[in-house]
Amino acid sequence: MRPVGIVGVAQTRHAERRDDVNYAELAFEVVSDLLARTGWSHDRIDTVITASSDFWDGRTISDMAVQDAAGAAGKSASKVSMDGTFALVYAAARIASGAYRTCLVVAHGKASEGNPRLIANAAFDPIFQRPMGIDDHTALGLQARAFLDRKGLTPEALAEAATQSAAAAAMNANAHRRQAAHVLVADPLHEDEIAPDSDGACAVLLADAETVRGEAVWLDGFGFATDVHGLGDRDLGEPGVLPQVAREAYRRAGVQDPDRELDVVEVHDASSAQTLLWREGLGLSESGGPAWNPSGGAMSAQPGFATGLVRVAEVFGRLARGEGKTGLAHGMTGFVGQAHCAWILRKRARA
Amino acid sequence: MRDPVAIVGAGQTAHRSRRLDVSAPELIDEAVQAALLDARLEPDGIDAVVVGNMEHFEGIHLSDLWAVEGTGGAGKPQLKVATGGTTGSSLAQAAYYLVAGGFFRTVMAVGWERLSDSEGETTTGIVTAFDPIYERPTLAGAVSGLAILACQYQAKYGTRAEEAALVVVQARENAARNSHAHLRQPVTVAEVLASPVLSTPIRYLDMCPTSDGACAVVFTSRPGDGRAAWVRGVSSRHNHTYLGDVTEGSVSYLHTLRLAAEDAYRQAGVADPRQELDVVEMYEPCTWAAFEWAEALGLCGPGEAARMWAEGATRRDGEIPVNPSGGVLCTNPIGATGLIRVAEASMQVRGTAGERQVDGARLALATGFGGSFWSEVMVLAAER
Repeated sequence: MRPVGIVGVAQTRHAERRDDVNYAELAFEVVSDLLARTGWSHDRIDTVITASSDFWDGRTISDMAVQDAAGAAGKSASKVSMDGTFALVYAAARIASGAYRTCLVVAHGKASEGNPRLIANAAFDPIFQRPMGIDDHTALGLQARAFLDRKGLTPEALAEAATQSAAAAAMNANAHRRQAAHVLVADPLHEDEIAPDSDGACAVLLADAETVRGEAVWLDGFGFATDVHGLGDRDLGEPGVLPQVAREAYRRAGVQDPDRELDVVEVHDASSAQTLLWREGLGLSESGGPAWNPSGGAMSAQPGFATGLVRVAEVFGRLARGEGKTGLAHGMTGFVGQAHCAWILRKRARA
Repeated sequence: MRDPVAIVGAGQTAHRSRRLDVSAPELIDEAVQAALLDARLEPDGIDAVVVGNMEHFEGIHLSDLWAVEGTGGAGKPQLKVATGGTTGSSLAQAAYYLVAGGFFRTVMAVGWERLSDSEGETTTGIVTAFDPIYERPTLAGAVSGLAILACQYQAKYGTRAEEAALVVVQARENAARNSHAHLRQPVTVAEVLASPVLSTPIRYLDMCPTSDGACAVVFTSRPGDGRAAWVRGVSSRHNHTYLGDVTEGSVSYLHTLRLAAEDAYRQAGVADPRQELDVVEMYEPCTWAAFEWAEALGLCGPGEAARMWAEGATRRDGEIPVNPSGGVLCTNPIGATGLIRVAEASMQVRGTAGERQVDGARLALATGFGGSFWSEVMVLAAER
């Protein structure tokens, strides 16, 4: 693929409720911040890809409301109705095709405007599963139990992982949640072992090798895949299609030994079981290796389809500050990891 | 600069008002299997899948993930693109860019909708696209927005209702030759004028139906020996969010379509679209829109479209055939509708359109319409 680099990133301070803005204004806030940080103006941006969920926004064609906020009027825009990491695939392809030189990616999530559990229920089979009341949290509970059973672990492992995420989140100014109650939600998961529902947005500005000059952070490889739908058709205690996704990303970026070559990894972990399970899925050792979710991961904030894109922004931030050369950012869509996406970011001179 | 990309297969379901015989994944599978057969590919010949569907119509969240067994995306990279009416054309464009960017060799675009699931309340789903405070109370979905456009066109050129009615009369004649089409029975101008008013001046028979259906199209950078439709121009343009801000001075003129078409024509080296294009598959949501769109596409001058239809230039055997498939006026499974335009245009230049084939078609145009006056355009050619 033709090289695609990152010009800059921005994310909002994530919160439980942002009553002061609607979701388009939330997107406008993060786009304005990105332009301020990069010194860019809309007329330099060729095309726009947004990521949003019509169910979460309560609006069909939810991208319609975001397009003015993203400066898309008069341009070519499109919407990926998945996590922002998947939107990044389409954005990078538009640049790699040579059709566009710059592309703005904007993702948002505003959980406070809806009932996330009810919305999650609407993604399950309407006849066999919805009437049971299944939602994302109960599905996470099933996964966590299957994971503990397979690994022969006790629930203390989940608490320990959650404690580490909370400690990292405490150092993250954008985090929405730094601590939560240890109250059982979906056995074996407690409230503090499940990622919160957040309001927040993230924007990433991409450009081609003619535009991104000198040493910069480049998108060096990606992988994504979707698993089968039925929870009963997957072994929930296993990392599913994530190992395949990671292999693709490593192959494209020429990463041979992720433990040694990666300096930082940020994953979308919807539960503390996933914090452990995705680490395994990415082919990393249980200890040592790269800095692991230094932002606190999704356990610090989970703003819908922006969650994975925030991981990209976090990895970019560390690499741009010189805290490592190579990082991995992970996003997912669907429950207990039905669809995964992984990006390898590398700070290096122009290709 | 871009890697050449070709369409080598297309498949569609039988589009009907209700496909109660199949579930959504089964409906999708029908189109996917047909596209694989047409492309002479096995499922493992597809490297990635781009899917599209509008969640509010069926009430299924993450419908892409639910339908993955039907799309062939299980265990593969699958990307969901959902942009309203333009969903199908957006899928075609996303699949194109994924191949043109060298990300994948062969990508299948799959769009579907089961509008029967919204039990006749498709407009209720569409209404949610608009601002809940400023626009929803007055703007009742797609019909009223198009009615504003039609009123402006009528006021500008003095076009009569019977002239617009000819568009659907001709569309139904074409659909009669298309076994996939939803509405295939002929209608007369008198019947159109006698049908109930939905929103002045749009009558029931002026408006597209709501359908159940799916469509799949295979894009590749390695077309092999079979007949291919080469993608020669790809463009899209978007407008402002609020209807009152849309276009330059008037809602009635589809500014975005003109800009997107000019860009795509430039890429494809088309100087005179009416002379050079052999066939147009246009996303016309109502009869009146066809006039606007034809003018924005440069098929005729401003205010000349009604005469072009009346003279028969847009017939399948006319000078510039428009929608030999019957178009959106005869078939409209929303998430698939724009992709069906691309599929039909590709079939025309590949010479596989059967009874609806335009003789000797070498250069075709497919358009998509949706959102707040969004336009998407693709030019396909028999030659690379």
